[in-house]
Amino acid sequence: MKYALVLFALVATQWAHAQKESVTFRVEGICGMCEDRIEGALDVPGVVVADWDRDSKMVSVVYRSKKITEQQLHDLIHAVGHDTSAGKASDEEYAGLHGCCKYREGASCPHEEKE
Amino acid sequence: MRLFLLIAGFLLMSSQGAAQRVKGKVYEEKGGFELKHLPMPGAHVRLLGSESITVTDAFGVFELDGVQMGDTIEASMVGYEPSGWVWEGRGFVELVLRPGVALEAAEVVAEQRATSLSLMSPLNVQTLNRAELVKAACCNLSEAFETNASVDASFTDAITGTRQIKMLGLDGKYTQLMVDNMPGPRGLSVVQGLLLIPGDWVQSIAISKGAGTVSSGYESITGQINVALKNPTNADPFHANVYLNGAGRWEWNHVSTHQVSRRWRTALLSHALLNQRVNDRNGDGFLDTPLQRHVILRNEWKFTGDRGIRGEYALSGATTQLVSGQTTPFSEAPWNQLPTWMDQRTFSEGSWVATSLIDRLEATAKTGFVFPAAEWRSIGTQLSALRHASRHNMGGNAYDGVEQMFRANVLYAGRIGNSNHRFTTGGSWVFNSFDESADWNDTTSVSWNRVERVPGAYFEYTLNDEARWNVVAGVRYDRHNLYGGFFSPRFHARFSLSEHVSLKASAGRGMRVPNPLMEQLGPWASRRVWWTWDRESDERVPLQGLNIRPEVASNFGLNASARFKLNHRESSLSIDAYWTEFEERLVVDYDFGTDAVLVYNLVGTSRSRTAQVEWDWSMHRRFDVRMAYRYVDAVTDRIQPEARRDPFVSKHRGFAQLSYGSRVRENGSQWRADATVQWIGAQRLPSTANNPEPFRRPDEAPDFAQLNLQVSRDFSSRASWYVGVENLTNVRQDRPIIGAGGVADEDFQRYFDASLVYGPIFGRMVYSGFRWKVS
Repeated sequence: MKYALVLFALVATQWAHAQKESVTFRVEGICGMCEDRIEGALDVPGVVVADWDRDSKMVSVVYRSKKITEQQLHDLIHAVGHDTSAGKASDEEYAGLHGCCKYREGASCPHEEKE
Repeated sequence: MRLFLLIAGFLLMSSQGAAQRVKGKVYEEKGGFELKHLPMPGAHVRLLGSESITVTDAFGVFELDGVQMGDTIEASMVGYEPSGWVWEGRGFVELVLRPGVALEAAEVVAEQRATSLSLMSPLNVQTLNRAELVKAACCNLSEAFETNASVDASFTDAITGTRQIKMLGLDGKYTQLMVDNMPGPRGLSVVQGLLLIPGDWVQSIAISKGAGTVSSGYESITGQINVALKNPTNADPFHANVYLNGAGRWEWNHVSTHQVSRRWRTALLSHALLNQRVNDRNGDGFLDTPLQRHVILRNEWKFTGDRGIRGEYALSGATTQLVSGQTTPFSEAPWNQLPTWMDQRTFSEGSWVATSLIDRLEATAKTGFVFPAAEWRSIGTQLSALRHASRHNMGGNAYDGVEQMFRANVLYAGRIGNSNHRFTTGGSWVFNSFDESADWNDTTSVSWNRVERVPGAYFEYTLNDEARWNVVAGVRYDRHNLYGGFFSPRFHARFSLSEHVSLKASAGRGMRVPNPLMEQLGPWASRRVWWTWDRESDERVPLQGLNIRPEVASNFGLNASARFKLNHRESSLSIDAYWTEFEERLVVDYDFGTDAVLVYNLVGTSRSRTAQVEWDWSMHRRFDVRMAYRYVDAVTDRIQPEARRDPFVSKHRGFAQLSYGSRVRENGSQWRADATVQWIGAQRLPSTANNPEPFRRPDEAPDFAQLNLQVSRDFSSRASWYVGVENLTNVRQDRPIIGAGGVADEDFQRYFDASLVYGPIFGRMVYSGFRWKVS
């Protein structure tokens, strides 16, 4: 048991030292649905963690630069209909968003909890 | 919406006028396609940033004083999303509350961990929610702790398959079990009562280690476990579950909720269990799993009244039948023969039968009132009444017990000055009657009657210094009609070193009156005769001579919890140390001889010291890891000084769990898998040295590991199917029943003992089930 723990810790630290970069950029969005969509888009191999903050509209991503580039992160988000600081989503993709997520028109999600 | 509110707020801020009285109305939004707006009584309406708060009346109307231009008026209600309005000067405001779970398409579910520990509460509380509980899909409360490192579930005997829980190295009877904050399994049902709470009815379980709060009574010693059942407001409109396992056990569970009127909601819960299959895998001539039938029903009503009145009223009933023992008598359906077996007082090799019947009826009523102008001030009453009757006969050891209880508890919560200083005070009155009789093969018998009447009062103060400090300090005094006054002080404190690290300390004293006959099921399934010890003559005397005294113990604990990022992902570490010291204890001693179980009041010391480390890590987007280790040192002074270490307690215990969850698709479908390994270190077993060789067992049980696996498939958010294996590596206790398996009748009569159980008996068990709900 003890050895298993030590072994596990060793593997974990090795892993943690792999080549990783972290980046923070702005992604337009409104609500928790947007959050799920944005974070879901970044749920791909190479991304260690992705967290979008509803208030600041900033997403912080930690990724393995050997597997994925920063531009690819932006492209993934554009592909689900959200604009980022490095470009815009196509109008077709944007049109597919749920009504309350239409950030370009300043929509709001009425059911969302107020902070 | 929020942006709009902000802008509106800014615009209006400039034209701020004098404070005004504002009237308004709160509506509830209903329906899927055709929206209806109904007035919402009993909603809280407040002015953000001020103390001003009110409750809407029967027509949803409220009045609020001191409103200024730009203030936000917020309406809120349990189960609904709060709704805000920036006041721009109009005299009548309308606010709409939407149910928190109704808008499925746009529903937002915050990512919630299956098990969470709170860094802010001064109590060391671990909450297991549905996501955790479904990891071990089986079956009732005694089995719900399989994936938890703090609470163990161990078998009481090799006949009935009953499991009892242990916390901090001590039996579950020292932990106060509550159901919806009302008394749960206790008294005569302290062990078997857990079987009467179906796992699929449970919404969440809060495990609080350490003394606990004083408002729920004096009985908590090692901690409190509160089981929150699914209720009319948090359950889905309909939920059903079917379960089948490899031992031939069928289960059915259902929960449905109905809106009866504007103020009343009700929930119906049902459970049925049937197992008629004869299993004897180890070939010892005894059933590995009992044959049983259960029916458990519950009906709860929830009242949401006008002007701050809330009520929860529930009625539950359970009836169970169990037959087990040697396989030979079960050639046909056993249920008809139950009455005959129940009256049998003799047995011989080939016809040893155990029967057990439980009938329980329970009613609870909770009513609360929140003062409209001061939400911090509230009054609550809790009433509960129950009748628990249990009869069993294990090879001629017959027991008949009836417990009746009534408890009334009144709580008043308020504050001193501001909301940093809160208090809860109140009083309780408990009536508890016990009527027990037992007979051991017509040789010895015992009959006990006891009526307890216990008035008590308590005061608890909570200091809440925002970020850094929290203190909960309580005192309680109860006056027991049989055992005199009892004082239970309890103290909990939390200090946060930083936002991510908190330290907790607790100390407290508790008392409980033991009911030895129903707290130890093991000796019933054996040839052991119950005795007590006479200190003057230094010899064993019949049990009737036992002078039952309450058990009193103090508990001290320290805990350090930290949350941090490991490889950029969430992780937490929790380290505990607890020490329980008994002042008075009813010692159950299996070590005196293999033909006896001795029950006597403690002379000397009895204590349990435990330390636990638990580590959680959300390792990967798809994987979670949890590991724990626990050390227990539990000792009690017994008649034989060498038998000091408590039996059936392992000093070392390890736990590891790996959980996988695939990406949730848009329709809610997902794959989930969990693997749990428990390693249970060596346990001391009661000595069998004075038996001849084939009837001896080692003094120390070997350590073993148990691996459980479960795979679940959610087809959508409505239907899911699961399949799992308990004890995959097929670990089994070697010859669990002493005297079983083709021995001479005379030897069987003399040495039979099924109480020395430390590990699994049935071995590998496959199970599968289906859940379906309407939301």
